[in-house]
Amino acid sequence: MLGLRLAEITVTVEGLAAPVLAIENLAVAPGEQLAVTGPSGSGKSTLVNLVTGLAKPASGSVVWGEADIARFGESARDRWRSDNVGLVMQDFHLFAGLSALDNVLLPARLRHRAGADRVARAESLLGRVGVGRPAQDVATMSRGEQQRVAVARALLASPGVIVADEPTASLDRESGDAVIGLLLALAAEERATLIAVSHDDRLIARMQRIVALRDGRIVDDRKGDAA
Amino acid sequence: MIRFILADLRRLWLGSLVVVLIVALATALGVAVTLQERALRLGSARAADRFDLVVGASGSETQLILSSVFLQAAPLPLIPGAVLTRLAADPRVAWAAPVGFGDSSFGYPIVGTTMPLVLAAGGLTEGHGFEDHEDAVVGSAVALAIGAEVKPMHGAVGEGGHVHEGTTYHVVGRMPRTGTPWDRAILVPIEAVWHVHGMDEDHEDGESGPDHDHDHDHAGEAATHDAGAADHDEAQHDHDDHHDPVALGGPWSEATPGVPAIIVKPKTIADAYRLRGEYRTATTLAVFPGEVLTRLYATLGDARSILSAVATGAQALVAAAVALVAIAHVGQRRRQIGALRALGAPRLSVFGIVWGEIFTIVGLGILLGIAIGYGATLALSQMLTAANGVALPVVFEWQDLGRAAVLVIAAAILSALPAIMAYRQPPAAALRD
Repeated sequence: MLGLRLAEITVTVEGLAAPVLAIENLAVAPGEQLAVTGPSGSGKSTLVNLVTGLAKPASGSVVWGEADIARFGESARDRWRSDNVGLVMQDFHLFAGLSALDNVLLPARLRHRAGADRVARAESLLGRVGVGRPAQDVATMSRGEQQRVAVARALLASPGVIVADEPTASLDRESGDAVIGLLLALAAEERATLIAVSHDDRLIARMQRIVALRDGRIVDDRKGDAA
Repeated sequence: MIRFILADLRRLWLGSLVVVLIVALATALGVAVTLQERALRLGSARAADRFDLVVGASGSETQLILSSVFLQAAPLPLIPGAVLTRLAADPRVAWAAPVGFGDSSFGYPIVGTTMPLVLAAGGLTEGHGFEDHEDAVVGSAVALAIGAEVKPMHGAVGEGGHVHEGTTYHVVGRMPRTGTPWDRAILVPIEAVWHVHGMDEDHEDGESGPDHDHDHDHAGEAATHDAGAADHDEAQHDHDDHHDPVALGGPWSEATPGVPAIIVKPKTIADAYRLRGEYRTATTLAVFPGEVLTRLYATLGDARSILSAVATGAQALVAAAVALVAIAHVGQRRRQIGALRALGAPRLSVFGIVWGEIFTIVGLGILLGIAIGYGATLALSQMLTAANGVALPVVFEWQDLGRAAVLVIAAAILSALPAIMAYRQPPAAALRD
């Protein structure tokens, strides 16, 4: 379980005068479940890139627990992300031709960390998210099933934080509900902080805290219905 | 990582297959050029091995060797029979055998010669040697059984001609396989060739008659015949004893008719050089087949250099095309590659996946290309052997390993380009719209 502190953040893009993201201060408690909302272009994706270490801010600090990942080099951020972040993305990013189980294990395998215990955990996670045939090629699965495989993959390394980027945006209503339920339940079970960027009112409504962005700035920060 | 690469290749099998085949064909081209040139060189050298020294009338050395060693019929000027007589009697000579061409039968060249040559060329596996003017010994690849009749057709293989009336050879012996054009030859006593062409013990001036009234006078006709015909009326002797077995294979006299070439087996290497020097005169030519072949190889080598350059150019083009396709492909999949990084894959893994995938494809193409090149050369060599009898050994040499290594290293470097692109790509690409 990791807490986050963002301080004096500015992210600029070449050719734009105004920063695409400017956050003076944002703290997320360990285990908190936070929704980030806002129209497109408001800086949500930039925020996800920052907190996952996929990108660096021009200035400011991104402190997870004790570590300021804004000071890390690229490889160190990759390693940190692999150890601490479970990522669930809008278009799943599963790899066709590999089975559900192989997809869940792929990031661990690429880091040579797929021991027997990881394989066992992958199988039990797939069971937990309701994927009954771990050997099935993901290309032949429904979108709802695919996103549930992606959720299992995000949890494999027991990350301190789960970051979900529009996890329900490409799913039908029923599958979306299932994924929302799994994300919330598993984040709690696995004692992970949850940050979800979403437009989906059904997801937002079930989060403890909602931060709204517009033009790269925080315009609202309130407790959610679940708080 | 290997599982990921294999899954990806399986998914993109059609495109991968096309690239593998293109690489394979470009590789095969280079392999085939190298192997075929080597096969021609080794094969012709082996075919010439058993002929130490060839003596002919002055003219083209290359033509002399092509005609006598490789049985490529062409009009050759004749050397006077006296030269044969002198060589046969020379103490430095183990044996000297005339070779006379001009006729063919069933598509096989008929070569007039004497038994020492037959024995030197491998002896007999079946039957016996010349005992009569009408006896013929066939090479291993001649599809005629012992006892078969051979009616000589005037003119070389593939040319128009007419059957020589009144002469029929009988196959009495068969030679073992030698891997030379002689495997496809029908050997008959030289005396019979002289007789067929009306040259029995004629006096020869050693030159083809440039023009004469003879009904055999068509283009490409063998010189043996023309020369014989030109002086036909000047016969000094009237022999009716062609069937006298004692006359076969000498001893020769000053009246011996002319022949296009004499194969000489000197007793020692020193003798060979001395004889070569002595018979290099204004009217005669003496050559080691090896020296002529060496000159031919230089030409062959030039041709190979050109073909190799063409093959290398084709390989470079394919390399450039593959690199372009790979780079475009990496560009198309930047989101997926970004996702790998976003999910925690180290940058080196991403590099390894892209590099491994491209190198697998190109490497398979190179391996397949070597196999195709080898197979194609083998097939082509077999066709050539069937056509002219020269066994063409298709062999790899150690230096080929170096050439293959160069290709593989080039493929490894080529594959690294898109892999570096993927390595440098920011992972945030996975999440951008």
